[in-house]
Amino acid sequence: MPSNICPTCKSPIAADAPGGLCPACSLEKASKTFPSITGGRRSAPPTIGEIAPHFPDLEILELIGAGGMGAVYKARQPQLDRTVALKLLSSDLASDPSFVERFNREARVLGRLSHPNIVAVFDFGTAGPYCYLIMEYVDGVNLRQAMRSGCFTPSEALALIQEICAALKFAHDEGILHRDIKPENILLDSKGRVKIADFGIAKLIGESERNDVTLTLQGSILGSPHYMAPEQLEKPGDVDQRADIYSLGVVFYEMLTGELPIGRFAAPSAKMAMDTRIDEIVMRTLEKEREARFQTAEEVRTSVGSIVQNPAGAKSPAPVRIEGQGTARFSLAGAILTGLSIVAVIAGAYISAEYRQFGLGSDTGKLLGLLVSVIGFMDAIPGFIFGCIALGSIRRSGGALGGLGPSVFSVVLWPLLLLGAVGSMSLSDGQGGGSVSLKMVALPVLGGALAIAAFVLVRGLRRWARGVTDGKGVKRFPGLATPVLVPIGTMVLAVLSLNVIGQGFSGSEEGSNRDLEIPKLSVFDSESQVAVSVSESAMWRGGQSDLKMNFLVESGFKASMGMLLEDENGIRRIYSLGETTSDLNGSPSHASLEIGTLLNGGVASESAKQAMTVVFSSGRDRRQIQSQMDLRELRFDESPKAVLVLDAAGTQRIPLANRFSQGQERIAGILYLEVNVTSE
Amino acid sequence: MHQQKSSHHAPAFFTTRWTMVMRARGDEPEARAALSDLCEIYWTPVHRFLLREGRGDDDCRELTQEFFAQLLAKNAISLADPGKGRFRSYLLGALKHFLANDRRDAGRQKRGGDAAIESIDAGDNDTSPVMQIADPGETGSDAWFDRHWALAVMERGLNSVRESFEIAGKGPQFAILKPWLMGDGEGLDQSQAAAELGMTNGAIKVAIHRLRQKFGEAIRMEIAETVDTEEEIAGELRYLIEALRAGKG
Repeated sequence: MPSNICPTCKSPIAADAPGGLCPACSLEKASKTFPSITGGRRSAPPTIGEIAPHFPDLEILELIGAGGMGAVYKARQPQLDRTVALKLLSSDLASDPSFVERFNREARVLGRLSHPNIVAVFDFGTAGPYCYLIMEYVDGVNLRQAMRSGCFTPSEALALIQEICAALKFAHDEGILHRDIKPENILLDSKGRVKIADFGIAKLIGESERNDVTLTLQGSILGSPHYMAPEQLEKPGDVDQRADIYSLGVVFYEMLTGELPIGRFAAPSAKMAMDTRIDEIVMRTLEKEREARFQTAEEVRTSVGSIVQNPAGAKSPAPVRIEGQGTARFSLAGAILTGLSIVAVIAGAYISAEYRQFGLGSDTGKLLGLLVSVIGFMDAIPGFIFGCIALGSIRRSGGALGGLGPSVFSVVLWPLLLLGAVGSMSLSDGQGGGSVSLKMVALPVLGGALAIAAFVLVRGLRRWARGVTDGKGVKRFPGLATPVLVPIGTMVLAVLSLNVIGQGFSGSEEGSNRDLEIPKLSVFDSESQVAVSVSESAMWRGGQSDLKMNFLVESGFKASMGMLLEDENGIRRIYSLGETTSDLNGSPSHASLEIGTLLNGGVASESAKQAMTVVFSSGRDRRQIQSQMDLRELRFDESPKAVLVLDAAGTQRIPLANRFSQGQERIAGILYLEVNVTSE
Repeated sequence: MHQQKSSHHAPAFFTTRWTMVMRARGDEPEARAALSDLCEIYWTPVHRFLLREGRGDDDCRELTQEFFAQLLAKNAISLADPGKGRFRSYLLGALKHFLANDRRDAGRQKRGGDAAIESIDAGDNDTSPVMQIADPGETGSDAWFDRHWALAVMERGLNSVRESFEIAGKGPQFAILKPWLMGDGEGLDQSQAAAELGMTNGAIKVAIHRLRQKFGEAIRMEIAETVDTEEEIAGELRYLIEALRAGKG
């Protein structure tokens, strides 16, 4: 064996030559090897003459490409009269039986991968020293060539990305990763359709190297590092569909900007004028951590789809309908029920307030109003459910179905409004007397909370229904957590804060309430027997309209109620409003004295007369007493305050206001509500 | 399993270190580690280049160490021009720059530390070392650098193939078959090798083919570490072959 003369170039081999080999000739020979993985390029793709004998059924026309994965030839199948692409994998691989076996297995799977955006595999096998695939011939250019002839507009890029996503989703669903998504593998046919080539080839060849312990360390360079996900570079054995999504993001970025996302790259919109929502999508496909990326190609597609359907500028766009898809069915049903609910609730409220106009008594009127309202509330529940179903189908359609607005209204706005109404009612009912100041604080708080909750919920749901998810790493319900949790949180906070405020206020009112509630009617209590207790406190409802007092009348007593006006000169006028007695069977009974609409500045005389109607009820026995008082011209200048004064004679006087006027004349004085308790 | 093995063999990033360096623009620790690895690999060409400059061996070692220390210390990657794309060009550029500075400093010390800093835009009669570096006559040392670079690439490639054969228990096969890496020249007797290895002539052909294939891959892998795009690998390989051929003549 020659020691220091190169057998090829016949020149002496330098002393420092590694391994005692002629460096130039060794590298020369190395450069002629056909790269089975990648690395080099078409250094030596077999010529047509070399391969033709192995494919007697094909007319091989020309070499159309050679790359890391092998060489591709344009060929014709005369029997079928069709043009096909013949892909040859490295000649070396075919001599490895285990590779051939794996190749056959994988190719069979690839052959089943039938999708309009994926280059179809018609046939495969081994012929002579080659493993080959016969594939659909795509008459067109690859994305790299297309990009060279000019950048894509954002809308063109979006359309292509959607098609690529459709293909990826299909393949991923079949359990096949591409692993080498790059512009060279994305073909555009003459009609501009996307066709993805070389599905799974990278893995096939990658595995053949991985199988071979010796090259494991270096077998990891598959394809172009710029398009590979970080985890694919670092741990090629542990990649999933999210690696394809990263590669897709690189392609996306390159299509939009003409540059690769290298280092600290700028958002696409910083380089080209485009919708900033695209940035969000691109950046999320390029997340280093795969957990933070879009998890499926379908997610990318729907996000892109939502931009395509709501072009820039339309902030809260109307539902876009795709022809032939129409409106989500359940949104109509939900809208109808919600409409019924609205009508019923309003009608109920109207009846409760204006029952007198219908010639109804207080109880009947309120009961009827309540009933109608409850029907309204009940209607809201199926309306909500149908709305939810509708939202679900709109989301599944990727925002293509209409009916988003009504559904969101049924699901969010109307229930929130109802809740708000109930909240404010319970507030005015439960938290003490005519505390108008409380309401002034409470209503804005409640209203604000409602508004924030509604805004977040509506916006979130709209986005969610259109398939745009936000937030990172929310796994189970991406995009739903914010719109659901924030409104709930807001409402809870609002209710809590209202409770605190309410307690503060009722605390300050408590003194007077306690005075009213504690029956210190000692004059009539000679035998330690309580005659009358004010059970619920005197209460003004709705400002200056309703006055109602509830009594618990012990057996053998009666209570009467009247009004006393005392002007600043000390002149008093007393008006009797009604009286109540205990139940006939001798047990304590509840009774209430109610002045309907007592005073409402400027009301017509008819309603002023109504104001005189005192509803007197005592247990089962109900009567109406017409008072003699004419209050038509009586007005309060200030909100009435319920402060109980108990005089020595056992009379409770409740000053209602310290200023009032009669007619044009303003009188400074005190209006008292006077409660007398006498033994029957 | 594979991962563990890799840590014995090669630094954690066995793929495209240069790409990683370029991507990060020197900002990330991984990129720094990658650059540091690259520098370690290509220590020899730099050392040889400095030897060629006509300095003593000890002096050269010291200077090489200092060069790399400076390179790694001063976030130098950010100076790299991504358009150039090749680590070799980058390193040579940096080396010349370093050398120029070093000479100027040395000169300045000789002159007592005073001025004469404006040597860069100097006139005809200027004899500062900066101008010498830019002199076309110096391309000889560039070729020298490139030749040693090519040898370093080849050595790494060859070692990696040898290791892979040894791991697979085929060390003797590598030793006997490696001359065929140079080509099918006269004086290489396949049947003799077959007899030595106890293989058939056909099996020897396949083995030689595979050995070449692996060597080719290994060389491409080595080169891939130092270039920015896949397309440049073949060009760089061609360049290195030319450098070796030229060095021979």
